[in-house]
Amino acid sequence: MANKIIQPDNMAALLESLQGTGKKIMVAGGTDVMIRMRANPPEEALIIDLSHMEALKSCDINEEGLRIGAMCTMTELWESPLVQHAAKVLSCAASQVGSTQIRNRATIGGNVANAAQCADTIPALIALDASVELMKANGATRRMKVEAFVTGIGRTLIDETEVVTAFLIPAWNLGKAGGYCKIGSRASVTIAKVNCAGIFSFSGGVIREARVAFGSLGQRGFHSSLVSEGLTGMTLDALKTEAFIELFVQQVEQAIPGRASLAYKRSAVKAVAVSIVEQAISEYRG
Amino acid sequence: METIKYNVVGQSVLRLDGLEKVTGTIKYTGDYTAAGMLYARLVTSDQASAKILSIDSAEALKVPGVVKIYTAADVPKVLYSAHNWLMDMSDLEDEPLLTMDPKHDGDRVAIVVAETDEAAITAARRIRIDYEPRPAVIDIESALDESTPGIHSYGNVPFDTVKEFGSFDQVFSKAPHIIEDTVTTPAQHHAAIECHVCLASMEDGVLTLKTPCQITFQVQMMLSRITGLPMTQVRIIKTATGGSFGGKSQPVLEPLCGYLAYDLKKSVLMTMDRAQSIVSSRRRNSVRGRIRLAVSEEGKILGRDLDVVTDTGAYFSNGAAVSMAMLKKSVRLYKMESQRYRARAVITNTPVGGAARGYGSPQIHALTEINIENAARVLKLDPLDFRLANIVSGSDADPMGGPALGNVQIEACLRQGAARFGWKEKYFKAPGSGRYRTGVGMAAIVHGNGYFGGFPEFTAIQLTLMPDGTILVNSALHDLGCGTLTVASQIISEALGVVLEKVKVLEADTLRSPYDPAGTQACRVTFVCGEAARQGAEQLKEKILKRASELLDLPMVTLQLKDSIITDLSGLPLMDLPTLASKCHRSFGETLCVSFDYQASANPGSYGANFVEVEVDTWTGFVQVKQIVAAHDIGKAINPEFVRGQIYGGIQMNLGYALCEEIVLNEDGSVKNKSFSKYHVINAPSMPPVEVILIEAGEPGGPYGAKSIGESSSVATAPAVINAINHALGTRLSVLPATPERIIEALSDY
Repeated sequence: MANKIIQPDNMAALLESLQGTGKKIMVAGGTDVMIRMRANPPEEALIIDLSHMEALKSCDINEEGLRIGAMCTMTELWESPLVQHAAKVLSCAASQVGSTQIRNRATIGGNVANAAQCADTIPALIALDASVELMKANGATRRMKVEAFVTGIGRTLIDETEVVTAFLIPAWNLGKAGGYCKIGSRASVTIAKVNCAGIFSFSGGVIREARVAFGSLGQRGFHSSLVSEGLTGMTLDALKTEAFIELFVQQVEQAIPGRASLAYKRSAVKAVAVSIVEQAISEYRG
Repeated sequence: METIKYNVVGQSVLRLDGLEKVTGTIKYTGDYTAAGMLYARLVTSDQASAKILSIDSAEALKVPGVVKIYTAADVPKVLYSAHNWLMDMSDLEDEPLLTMDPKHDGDRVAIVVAETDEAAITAARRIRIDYEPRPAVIDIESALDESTPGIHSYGNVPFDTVKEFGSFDQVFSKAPHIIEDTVTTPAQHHAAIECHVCLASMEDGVLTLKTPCQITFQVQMMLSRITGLPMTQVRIIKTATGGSFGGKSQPVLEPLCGYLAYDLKKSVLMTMDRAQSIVSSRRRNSVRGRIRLAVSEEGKILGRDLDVVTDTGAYFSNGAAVSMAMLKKSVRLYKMESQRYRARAVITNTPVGGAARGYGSPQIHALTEINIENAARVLKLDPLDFRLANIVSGSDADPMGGPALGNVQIEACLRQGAARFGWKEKYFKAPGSGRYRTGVGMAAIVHGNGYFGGFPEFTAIQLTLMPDGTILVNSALHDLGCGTLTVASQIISEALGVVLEKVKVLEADTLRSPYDPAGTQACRVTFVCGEAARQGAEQLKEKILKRASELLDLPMVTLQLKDSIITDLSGLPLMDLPTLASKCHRSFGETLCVSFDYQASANPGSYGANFVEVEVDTWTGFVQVKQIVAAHDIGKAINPEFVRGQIYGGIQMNLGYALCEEIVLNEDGSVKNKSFSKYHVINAPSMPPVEVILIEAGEPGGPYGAKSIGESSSVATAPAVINAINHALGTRLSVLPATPERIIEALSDY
């Protein structure tokens, strides 16, 4: 009934650990899994601590886009000039996860695989149309969109014998103006009640393209066609009138009809709308 | 009061245990080990109301290292009150050690004792409890409903009283204005860093407990009753406390842990985790109160009608005591011709109410100060002027016959606080009409200084001059982390003329400390115990100088004791204390010591006022507190930095009460937020700038004029914040805490 803990420090060792059929628990920072294990201690599980996997900690850019190792911490995403420049919305989202101590341990792979409905990085990754890379024990990889990968609270399409190795943000979405905003129950060290990320292409004072994604509205993060399409074509002048806010309110009403939290969220999302658009405009002008 | 130059009183000396605490060398209860020590963990009910049909311990007993599992059948069938601290107190005794009839989420069902804490935790999880659920009574309304079945045999409303002064009907029938509010205050968790913990051992027939509690002699009394051991064989030793805020004021783990050690004849360390500290210890009694304030055309308060219902949780606990404490605090702030106070305490299937910093003050002042501010708004009066026109002064008597109000400085608190805050200018500024609205609010409060006038209020202290010139002080003090021992040392050092480092004050140990059953609570420590220390030290000084006079053959009036040296009046050193001690041994066969009994004869008010500015986001309901000015009538600050520390901490706690802290229930009565990820306190980034004004006008009866601050500091912020929110929004929000959701809801009503 004992648990076994291993700490692979290279890909071969990691892949080997994936081969068994027993219960496996990946620790990719541990800020959620440790709490869960304390509440419900596992028995006879193989606990795989990924914190020594240097191979999963790199970030690099190539013709395909930006590749972010699954074990990059929130602090690294926030402080990395590369991520700040290429995917600012993700960098911002990472900066708002938990507390400083949490951000120093928590990783993007853990945040996504944990699949909390309020995860900070998931809406950012969905807005960026990012894919997740999964590796099997035999070294084979597959990719899928983050939006498809996360299927519900704590649920993803990962197999028992897979590990999340990286995230890929397509080249065409890099360097775009964007914004991330969350509303929790207090100003910091807070869990989102509504969170949202958006990236925007401007030209000539008009939004040519927008991709806006939400979290904490229902079971999983999602791309909002309603908001994205609604914003596309809007001029900077139109954005001054705050008419665009109504799109965000409509999206909340569509996502959680009849929910007890609707009354609050439909009001709070107005702050989200303004914040995201203001962030994007300031970058466009900057 | 004229300014007197003191030596160490009034100095912000460093706390004596500071180095140990910041270097981590101090021993908290959980750090102790004993030979053969066992570990105990509680198994609590996850049902708010149920009958237990069976408890299956078979799987738990298989966990290696498990020693014994206790259920209700294995412990004495006593019912106790965790409130009663004197032998002859008789508040309802309804709390069992363990139960088969759980009455709240977190009620104590079983205990696992094991050789390791891990085994105890693992086994506790494997105990299977078969419940027959019952409907849970989770709100005041249902508890008051006569058709609701009683949770206990005595029904759901075990306390119902009316206290009145003046001609109530006459006042209310002629009053031109009656302003009515109904205010609700939450169940608050104490949120001490250290969860409840206790270590009990049998040592040579003496049941010995180490516990970070506030009231060792009550623990001793309870365990003597439970085990049948005489009090001389029950020893309770106060250990370093990692925060209490009233949460360790009532015995919680001690009766159980003590019984385990007595039964097993082994050392047992019993620990709660955070979830248990939230649901299975105590919480602040929640209150719903209707307030009707009668006011004249000229803005004079004529009378008040208070109908207060206190939810005391699943056991009676301090339901009556806190109701009466609220009454006392309601009549000592504003002058009026009459007040009627109806108090009811109700039982619900919720975590048990108990002492919590302020003991009724945060509740009653939330009720009355929100109502006072609303009254001023209705009557189109400046809330500051309205208060100034109606506050008490030192020459007023307590209308219910309570102790004299003392040197009342509420006017100074209001005037100086308002001036520093810029009240007039800010109050008459428009709140704005956009997304962000600003507003200001204020509140005035009063709290007590010990038990005089209500309960026996006495203490004793023993001071001994040791041969090396140090002073050993035996007391029954409990330092809860606020620097009590340092303050006592400062007082003794000052009174005696001995350098601070030479004074050693011991904490409560029921085997050796002078008997003081009232413990360290009720804001009695500095005012009552501190004055006992001062007078005891004066007596020892008298003895020292008398013997010095005889040994030196000089008149006593020509001698003084300063900085541990006996000098003449010019300061010429004549003899040091070790020399004096040795000479006393040889010449008189005597150790210089004092055993001093002290009875308090005053219980003045500690007054205070808070001024708060907020900015409210009308979209998110977020309240940003931009500034707080706190003015406090503290008589004299023995250690000004400690006083400010109490005020900063009191504000942090009361700000949480206003904005976010609340034990939230599901519909079935189970508790929703059993961890700090869901129970939010005010964290550092949300803490506003706080300006403190100390009014030091001296309080007769307190050491060097000092009076209490630990509780009065944690009361005025919440009503001031609610008043500021209502000022900003034009709302009449009256449910605490004002969460973002409640603010958005209140806005949609307007």
